[in-house]
Amino acid sequence: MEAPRSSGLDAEIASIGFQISHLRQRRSNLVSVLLSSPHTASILNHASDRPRNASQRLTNALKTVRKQQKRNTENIHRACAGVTAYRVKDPDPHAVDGGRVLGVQIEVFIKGAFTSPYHVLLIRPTAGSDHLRIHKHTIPACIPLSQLAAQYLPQPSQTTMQTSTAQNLPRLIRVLRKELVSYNLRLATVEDLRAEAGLAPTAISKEVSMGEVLNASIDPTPSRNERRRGKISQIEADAAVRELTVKWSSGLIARMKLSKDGTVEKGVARTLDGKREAEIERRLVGRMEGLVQRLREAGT
Amino acid sequence: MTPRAQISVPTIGVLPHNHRLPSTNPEVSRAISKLSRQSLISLALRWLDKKNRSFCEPYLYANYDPNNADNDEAPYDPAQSHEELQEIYRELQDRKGNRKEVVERILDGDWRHGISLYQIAMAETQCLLDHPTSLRWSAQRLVKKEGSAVKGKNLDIGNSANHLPRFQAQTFLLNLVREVSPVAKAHYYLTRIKAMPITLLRVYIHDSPYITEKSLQDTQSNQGSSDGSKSLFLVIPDGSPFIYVSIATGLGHAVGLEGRSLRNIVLDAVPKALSKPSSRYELQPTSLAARSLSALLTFRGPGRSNSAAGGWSIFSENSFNWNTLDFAVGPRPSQPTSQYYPVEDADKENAAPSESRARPKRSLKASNATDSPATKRRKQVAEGRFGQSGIEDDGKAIERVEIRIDDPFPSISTIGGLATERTLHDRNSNVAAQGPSTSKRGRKSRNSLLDRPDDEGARDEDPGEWRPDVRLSFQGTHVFAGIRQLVEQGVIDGEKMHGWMTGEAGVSIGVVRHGKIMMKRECLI
Repeated sequence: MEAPRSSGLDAEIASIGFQISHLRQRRSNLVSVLLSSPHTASILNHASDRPRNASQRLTNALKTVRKQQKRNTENIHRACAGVTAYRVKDPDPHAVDGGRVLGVQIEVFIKGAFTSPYHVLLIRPTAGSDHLRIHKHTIPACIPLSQLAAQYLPQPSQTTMQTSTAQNLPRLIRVLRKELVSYNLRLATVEDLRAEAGLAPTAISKEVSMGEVLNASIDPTPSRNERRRGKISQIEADAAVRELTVKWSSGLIARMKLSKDGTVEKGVARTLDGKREAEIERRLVGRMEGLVQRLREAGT
Repeated sequence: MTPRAQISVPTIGVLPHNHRLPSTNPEVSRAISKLSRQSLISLALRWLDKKNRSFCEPYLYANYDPNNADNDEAPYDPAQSHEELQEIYRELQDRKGNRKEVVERILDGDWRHGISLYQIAMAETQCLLDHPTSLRWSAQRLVKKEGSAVKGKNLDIGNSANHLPRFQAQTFLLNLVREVSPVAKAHYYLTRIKAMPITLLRVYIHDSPYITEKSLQDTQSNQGSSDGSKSLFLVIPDGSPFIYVSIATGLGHAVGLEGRSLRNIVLDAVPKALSKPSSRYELQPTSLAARSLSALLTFRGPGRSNSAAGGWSIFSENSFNWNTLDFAVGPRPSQPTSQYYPVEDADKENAAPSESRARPKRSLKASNATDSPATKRRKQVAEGRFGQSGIEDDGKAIERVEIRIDDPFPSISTIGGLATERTLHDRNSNVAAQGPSTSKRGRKSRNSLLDRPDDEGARDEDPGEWRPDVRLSFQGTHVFAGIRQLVEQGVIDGEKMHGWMTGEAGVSIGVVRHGKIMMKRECLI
C-alpha cells in the first residue's frame, strides 16, 4: 500500500508545484499589464501632485511604473528593430579609449520566440580616430565574422592611419544579421525535418559513452529485400548546417549541400553497395523545408 | 609452400582493427589497468556486441585446441558462443566484486589469445571519457594559407562559400592515411563522442614498414613500454576552425625524441588531409593548453564563448539581459544580479577605490566569517570583473597560466596592490614570481616560448625605463577561479587588476604589454 500512496502524493505535489509556477507567471503578467496601462501612471501622477499624499509607497509605485515603461520601450525597440546598440564600460583599468565600448545586439526571431541575442562589442583602438575594431563578440564560429569584418570594417594601416575603404558598420551588422538569421532558420528547419520523419530531436546526451565508430565498416550484409528503402532513420547536419545527411534503414545514404538560404543545391544518394539512386538524387534538389515530403513521394 | 600470411611486404595500408597484441603486452595491461570494474564490464559487453564483434573475436570453444598442453592450466573454460559470454558479463555486471576478477577473466580467459588494436583503442577512449582530465590538450587553429594573388581580392562570402575547412570523417581519414603511411604505419580509430559535440581520432603509431600482425608483435616486444606516446589523440570539434591535440606526456614518463618525431608526422599530415586544391590549411598554435575538454570547447569551440571569455562571459551567457518578450520588471530569482556593467554603475565603482585597497593583508580565513558591506562590495566587484566565469566547479579550468610581463618597471609610488599578489599561496592557485634564473634551471623548454626575441626588446626600449624579465606562473586546479577568490577575499584589488587576470584573453601562455596580452592580429577575432 505504501508505494502507490507515496507516488500519488508525489504526483499531487508536482501538480501543485506546476500550478504555483503557473499562477506566478500569471501574476507577473498581470502586474506588467497593470503597470503598463496609461491610466495607472496618470492616476499615480495625479495623486502625487497633491502634497499631502506624498508617501514612500507612492514614490515607490511611481518608480516601478517608470521602470516598466522603460522596459516596454526597450523591448519594443529590440523586437521591432532587430538590432540595437548600447554602451558598455570595460572595467579593465588598461582598456583602450577609457574603457568605452560600443555594443551591438542582434536579435533572431525563430519559431515564435526570440533566441538569446548575439552581441558584437566594438572599440576605438587608436586615440583620436573614429575607426572601430571588433573587440569581443558572441558570434558562433561557423559564421564568417572575420571575413565580413575584413570587408566592411577594414583596419587602418600602421603607417598612413587610413583604411583602404571606408568602414561601414551598419552594412557589416546587416550582413551579419542575415547570416545569423539564415543560420538559425536552417537549424530550425533541420529539427522540423527530423520531426516530420518521426525522429527524436537532436540533443547532446548526458551519457558518458562512445558514439558511433566512424571507421569500422563491416562488409554490408545483403538486405533481405533489395527493393525496399525502409524508413528514414537519421537526419543529420553539420554544425554550420551547410551539409545534410539522410540515412534510410536499408543503408541508403543521401548527402546534400545546402546554400545559405536553405536550398538543397545538389546531392548524392548511394545504396550500401555503392549504387547511385538517380530518382532520389533528383528529388533532393529544392527547398530544404519540403525535403522529407519529396523523399516520401519517391516511394519506398 | 609458405602460407601467405607469413610474407611481409612493405605496403601503404593501415593496421587493421583486428590485429592482436598478446594479452601480456605492457601496452594492453596499461590500457586495461586504468579502467574501473564497471567500465571494463560495459566495455567487454560492447566488444561482444554484434557491431564490433568481428574486430574483437573472443576465444571460444571453437578455437580450443585439445592438443595444446597449455590448455590444461588455463583457468577459464572457453565459452561456447558469443551469447553465452554476453550472459556471463551481464551477470558480472549485476553482482558485486572486485575489478581484478574482471581483468583476469578478460586477459586470461575470454581474450587469452590477445587483445585487438580495436579493443585497445576502445579501452583507451573509454578511459579518456571516464577521466576527462587525464590528458593535456593544446588547441591549434586551422588557418587558410593565402597566396598573394588571392589576398588582395574581395573575399568571396557569397551564398555558396564556406570559410571553415570541410570535415567529412571518412574522407579526412583516407587523406590522413595517405599522408602518414609512407613514413609510419598506424592504427586509426575515429569515433563520435555522445556527450560532447566532438569527433575523436586515436592514432596508434607503429614504426615499421609492415602492417602484419607479426611485425606489430615483434616491434612491441622489442621496444617494450619505453615509449608512452605511441598513441595520439586528436579532437575535432564540430563547426569550428580548431583542433585539439593531446600533449605527449605519457602519464608521467618523459617522451623520447623518437616519439615526438612520430607524433609530428601525424600532426603535419592533419592540415594536409583537410586541404584541397586552391584552399590549403596549416595548423597554428593558439597559446592555449588545458586538461579539461570543456574548457577548450568554451575558449576554442563552436559556440558563442570563443571571443567573450572572462568578464565578457555575461554576453555569451546573456545573463545581464532578458528575453526580448519578457516584460516583467520584478526580480528574477534565478539570475544573479550584475551591477557592474551598466555604464552608470561602473562609473560609481571606479570613483571609490580607496575602501578595498585599505586591506590587502587581511588573512583569508578571517574575512570568510561575515558578509560585511566591504565583503559584499568585493563580491560585486569580482562579479563585475569575472561575470559568469571563474567559478570553481564550472568545468572550465585552466591549470597552468604562464605570463611574461613586458612593461617597464613601475615607479615606486604606483606599485600598490600588485606587489602583494606575487607571493601568495592559496588553496586554488599558487602564484609564484619567477625570475629568469629560476626558469633557466626549471622548465627550460617550456619557458623558452616566453623568451623575449632580441630585436623586440631593442626596438622600443626607452633608455630611461627598466624592463625586468618578470615571469609569472599560476598553477592550480582552476587558476582563474583562484584569482576570483583572491579578489573576493580582498587580497587582489579587483578594480585595479589587469584584464588578463580575469582570463579574458583565453590563453594559457602569453606576453603582457601595456597591461594587455599581446596577440597576433589575425587571431583577434
